[in-house]
Amino acid sequence: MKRNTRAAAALAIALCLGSGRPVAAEPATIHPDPIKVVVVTGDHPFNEKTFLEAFDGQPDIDIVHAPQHDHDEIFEDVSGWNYDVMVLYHFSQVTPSPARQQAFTELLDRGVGLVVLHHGTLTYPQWPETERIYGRKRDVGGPFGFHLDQRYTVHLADPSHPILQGMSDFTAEDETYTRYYGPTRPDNHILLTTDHQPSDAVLAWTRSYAHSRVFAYQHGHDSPAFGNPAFRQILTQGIRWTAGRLPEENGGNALSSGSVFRQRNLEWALAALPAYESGNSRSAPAVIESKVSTSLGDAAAGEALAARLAPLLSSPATRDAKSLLLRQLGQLRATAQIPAVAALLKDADLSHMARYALEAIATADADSALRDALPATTGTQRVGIINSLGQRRDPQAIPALTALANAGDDEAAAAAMKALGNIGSQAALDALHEIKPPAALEITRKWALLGGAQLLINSGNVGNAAAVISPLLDEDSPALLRATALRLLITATPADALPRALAALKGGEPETRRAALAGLRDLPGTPATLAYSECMPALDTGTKVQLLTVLAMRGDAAALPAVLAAVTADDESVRLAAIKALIPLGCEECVPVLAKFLTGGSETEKSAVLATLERMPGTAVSRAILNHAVTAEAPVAASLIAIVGQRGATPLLDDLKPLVHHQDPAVQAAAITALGLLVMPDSLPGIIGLLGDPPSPRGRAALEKSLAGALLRMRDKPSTLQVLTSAAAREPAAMRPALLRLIAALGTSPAFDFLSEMAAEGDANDRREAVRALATWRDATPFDLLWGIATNSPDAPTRELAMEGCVAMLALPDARFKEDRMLLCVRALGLTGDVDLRVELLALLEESQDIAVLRAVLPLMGDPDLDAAATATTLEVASKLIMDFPDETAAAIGKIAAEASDGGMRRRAESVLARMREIRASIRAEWNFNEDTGGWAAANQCETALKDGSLLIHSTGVDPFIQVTRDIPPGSYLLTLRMKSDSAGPAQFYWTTDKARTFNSDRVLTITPVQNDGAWHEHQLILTLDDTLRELRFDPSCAPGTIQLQSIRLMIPPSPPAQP
Amino acid sequence: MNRRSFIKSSLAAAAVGGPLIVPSRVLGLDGAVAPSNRINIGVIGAGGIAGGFHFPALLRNENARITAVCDVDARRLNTARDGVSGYYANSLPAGTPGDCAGFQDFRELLALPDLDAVLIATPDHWHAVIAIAAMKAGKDVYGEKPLTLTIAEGQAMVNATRRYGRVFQTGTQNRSNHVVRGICELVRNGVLGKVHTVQVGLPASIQLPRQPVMPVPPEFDYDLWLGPAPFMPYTEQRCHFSFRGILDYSGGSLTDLGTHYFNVMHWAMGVDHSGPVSIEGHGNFDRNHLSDVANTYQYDLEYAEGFKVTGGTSLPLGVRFEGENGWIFLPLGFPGPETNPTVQTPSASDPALLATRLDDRATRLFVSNDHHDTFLRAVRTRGESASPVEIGHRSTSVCHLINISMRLGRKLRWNPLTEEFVGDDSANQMCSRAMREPWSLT
Repeated sequence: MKRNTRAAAALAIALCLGSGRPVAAEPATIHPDPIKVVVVTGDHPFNEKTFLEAFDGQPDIDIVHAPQHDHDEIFEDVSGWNYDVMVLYHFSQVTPSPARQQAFTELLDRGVGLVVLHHGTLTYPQWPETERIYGRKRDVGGPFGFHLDQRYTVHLADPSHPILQGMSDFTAEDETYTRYYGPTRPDNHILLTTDHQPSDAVLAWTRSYAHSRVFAYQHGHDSPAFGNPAFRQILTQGIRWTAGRLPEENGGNALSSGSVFRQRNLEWALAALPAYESGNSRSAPAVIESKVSTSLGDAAAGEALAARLAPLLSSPATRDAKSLLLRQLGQLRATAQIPAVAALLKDADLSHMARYALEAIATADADSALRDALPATTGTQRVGIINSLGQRRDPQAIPALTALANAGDDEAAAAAMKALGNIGSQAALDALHEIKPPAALEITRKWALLGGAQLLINSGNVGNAAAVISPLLDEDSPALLRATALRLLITATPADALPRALAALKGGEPETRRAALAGLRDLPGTPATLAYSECMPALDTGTKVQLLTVLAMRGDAAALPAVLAAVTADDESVRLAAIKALIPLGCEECVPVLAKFLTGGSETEKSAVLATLERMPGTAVSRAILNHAVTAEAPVAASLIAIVGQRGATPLLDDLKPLVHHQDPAVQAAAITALGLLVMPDSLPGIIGLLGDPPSPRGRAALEKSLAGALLRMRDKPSTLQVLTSAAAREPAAMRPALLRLIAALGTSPAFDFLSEMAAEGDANDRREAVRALATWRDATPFDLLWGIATNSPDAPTRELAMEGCVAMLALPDARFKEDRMLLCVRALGLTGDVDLRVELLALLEESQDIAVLRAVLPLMGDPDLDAAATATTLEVASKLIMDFPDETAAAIGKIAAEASDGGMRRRAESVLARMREIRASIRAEWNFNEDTGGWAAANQCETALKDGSLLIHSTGVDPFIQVTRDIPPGSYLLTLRMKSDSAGPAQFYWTTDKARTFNSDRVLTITPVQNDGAWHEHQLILTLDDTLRELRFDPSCAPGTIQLQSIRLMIPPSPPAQP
Repeated sequence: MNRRSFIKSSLAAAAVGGPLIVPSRVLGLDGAVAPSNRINIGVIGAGGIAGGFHFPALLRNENARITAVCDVDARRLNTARDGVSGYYANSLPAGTPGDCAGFQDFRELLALPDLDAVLIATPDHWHAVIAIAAMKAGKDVYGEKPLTLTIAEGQAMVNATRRYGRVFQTGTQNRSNHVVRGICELVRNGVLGKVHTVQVGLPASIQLPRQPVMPVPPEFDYDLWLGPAPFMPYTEQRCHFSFRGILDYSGGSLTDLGTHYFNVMHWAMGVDHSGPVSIEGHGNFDRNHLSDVANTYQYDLEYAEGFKVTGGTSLPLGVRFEGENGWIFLPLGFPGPETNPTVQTPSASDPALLATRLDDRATRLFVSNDHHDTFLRAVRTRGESASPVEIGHRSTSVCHLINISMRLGRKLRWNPLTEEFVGDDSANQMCSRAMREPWSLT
């Protein structure tokens, strides 16, 4: 299922999981209604910690941090918006979608306060409306400039403004902008200025947009600004001002609580809703739905809200708006608004929505409103109202419904009779009896009577119910109706209905017969079971099958004789149904009867019998099966013994043991498998003992396998290990290898310790057997131990055994090896002389991308035993390294192209060489970091070093970058980069050219997303130069951390494929 | 001749001039092996689940014959009808009747006297109305999950199934998955000891962007698609698969998949006929989208049987049982056929728990390895289905209870015996919804 979750997920994160920073003081006592602020960031690095600290210590300000991942997804869905103020500190240069633009401006229309801060004032350069919202006006007389680390004096242009109350001029240490704000808009109220150069003169202003207050403030690049008390004061006062907590101007009035947004929100929605049409913005509906939702636990608030909503029902609002209001009024269940709702029962379009609301209100007023609307409505509208009256089981509606049933409108009459059935009282049923509908509706009346009868039964009034039902059984009604009547009569008065049920069972009418079968579940006691069972001989084949099935569901053992008799019926379908019925009903006495089918039955019958034997419950049944197995012919005996194992008949374990030595191999095998299935911790020693006296070598292997499977079931692993180790110490030496392998199969840490200790300290034979057992371990846990033995043991056979285990483990997908797997394979290749193991290792090495592997494998080409494998591995590995080690790989691949004995391999090598030449020819600049940094040097907040053929960058801040000087002519290039990082944030390339000598955002390539997961990733970008590049700068992250670069290349992009 | 009349006339040809389909019921040959013993089944709702799951399963099952299909969208209907007829034409021996009739209105399909059963794969808001009408018309029912849109609909379906003596199977096919059954048997037989907590992880709901009102396609009977649901102007995303995002027709992923997961949980815990006594849910409801179900949510339930259920959309998809002896996690994913690969290998605190072999006194659960075949067998033998209506109703009720708690924004008390909220009229009122005329549950 594909979902559009981005926006909601981001908002959900912001609402639930984000770095919400509740204020430190006690807002509940000091500020019962703190200002809710959302701080929007994204598309620009910043020091999150010190930035968010600037909001600390303000008990009346409650912030939620909402980092954006898609520029501004917070505006994707503003229906649940609950913030008084938004602080925009993001830097999106992408114009928002029309829907997001609309949502943003709508929030301002709803009175949400707006603070735009620092680079937030530069967002959306291509969206003209932001000039009116933010009050900025771009000076197009020259290029925009930004200037880091400026120190300058800030002047208060209007010290009397509420935001600046009590402040005086101050010194700032911050970034400045030039030629951005230009001439201020005449409707801006200027608050801060500076004479400093380079900087624009105006630094802060206020204005209004729609119903919102707007505060634009240029400060706030990095920690020195965030820590400045003046910045903090202006920022937080700005928030208070936009929320309405400060007077708009000096001498005005502030709001004592709440905010402009909260004051305007419901009013705005009530004003906007009448124009609402499905498919348009749901903001107004959402506000109302939200208000309704929060009123649900408070009846008084609900009534008050309903009183605001209901008047719109009689306004010229759209159908969609009224439909929505009716839903909300239904949720509020506001009784005072019933008249307003009921007025719409007569509205052809909205009648059903009015009922939607009224059906939710459980008062007599709602009933009477529905009744009162009956005379004024016709057609399906009236049918709907009738249905509602039936649904509400309104007893006062009986006269009106009765009248409608007799009034001649067939649709209304049918609905009215059904409604009377739904009311289901004796009075309603009496009315139904009196109604004389036209012939075509008579059946509807009878169904309604049955519906009412069910309600009487549900209320315990079974006598009256039976009185209603019985006549319907005897009338000339359709079979389905009579069948339903019989079914209900069985429910109402089972004992009285039994004879009728038996008659129906034996009768020829399928529908009533089925009702009789279904009714058996409501007929209590053994007499009913027997009565039904006794019908069996009189039934046709199909009904016998059905009765057997139903008797099995009933589970009354009294049916057993009839079922057993049916097991030998003439018809196979009956026999099969009877065999299956024995699963719940059968007992040990059935076993011989069933077992006969295993020798004389059809395949279908055998299969059914085996299933029944496996599932008939009870140890007595198990014993009966085993007893029969002992005397049965071998194939049947084996099947039955297997069933004893499958049944989990643990008490029969000892009885099974002798069968391990049965003369028939199939019986032996079945007994061994069954023992493995049945052995429990307490019986384990006895079964282990069988390993010392196996029926045959194959039997011992089977027993060992069966026991290994059983060990997986042993929850008390320490005791199990104790049993195994004791046996290993006690039993004859011939059993020890098998016991040690069982210890390995146990797979626990103590088992490992036991074997590793034996491998280290036992005698030579013990050590060898322990290693052999460890080599069978199911994962790579013993690898290090075995590796040590493979490299250090003085005993050659032990070394080979250990190496065999190591190679098997290297092939496992075990995370512990990580990047060492290939290195270990290379080392193993040098340690073992076993040809098979070496070929296996070469195959594993094909995964490698390491030059060291290539160097190790290359000399093995030409070895008589290893040539084919070594050649394949060499070509595979070299092909992956042609970019980073062009000379060495070209030599290796060239050797294969020239000398390989396999023609196919030679041709593959030639093809790789051709492709390699093509790629190499396209490279215009390349840094491989194999021997030097190629001129790259740390330039800001980082240190660099070479490591393993890569450039290591240690970032120490939020703005690390490295630079290189290189002339690259104009053109379009493929810029490739192989890197790994455990830092954070996007990576970017900046460059200068002949004409543009500074690094800035006019020339930037951003790598998104960077997977800062510590693994190697390849990135590709298109770099287009219209001027000669002079310097290239790489910003690897926005946080402290370690980044490694293996290569950077500029290449001529491959030509696009020719157009057809 | 427009498309609709084409369908009707081709149907008339099939019914009058076409090959006669002999209903097995009429011949009274239930249980016999003759070809006429095959169950004649009509499929109502020919959308994704029918096309991807039901049609293939029924077509390859020799015990079934799809004799009619129904969809309010004539495009889907024609594809389904032609596909079924074509399949039978190619696979049945020459001369064997295999024509499939097509209807846009389910009432016309239900009027066919030769149908034994129907499979209902419509959107949720239609399930109860169609199922009850089908059972009243003498058809057995395979009803897709989630069984209902409201709790009251489930109660009505349970009553109707008993009253009309029908076989009913809910489309919770995990009941026919041997891996699921195996885990449920382990839990039921106390392998974990006393289970104190069950975690149920579900996916987030589908989100639908707002769409402008659109003209209704001429092939689509939109009024009949809406049926008992409130009228809303047509827009494409409202219908077909994406109805799952809209509360008028669905309960979101909570009902769509929750009904599968709670069904498994109930099976394992042995509370198939019970329910929670305390429900607390919190959801994030869409308010600015076409979809309005809770997108993400979490819930805490308490059962009188002495365990808690906790979960929501932040947990791995599946059911995790936690008991005195450890835990078992059963990944469930998006259930498909019984051989569903998304029912992945279960895991446990100790693998030995999963390897436990039950003995010959253990409680064994109903065995089904093919959900469709089990239903067909039950129709033929009047036996037990793999997921009877009460079970489908109770597991779907859990989802509805959580949705009601989320919408009311408060913790609720529920009496599973009377199936009523305790002391909360608002919540009880939300157990049912008014139906657009002329539709009702009777």
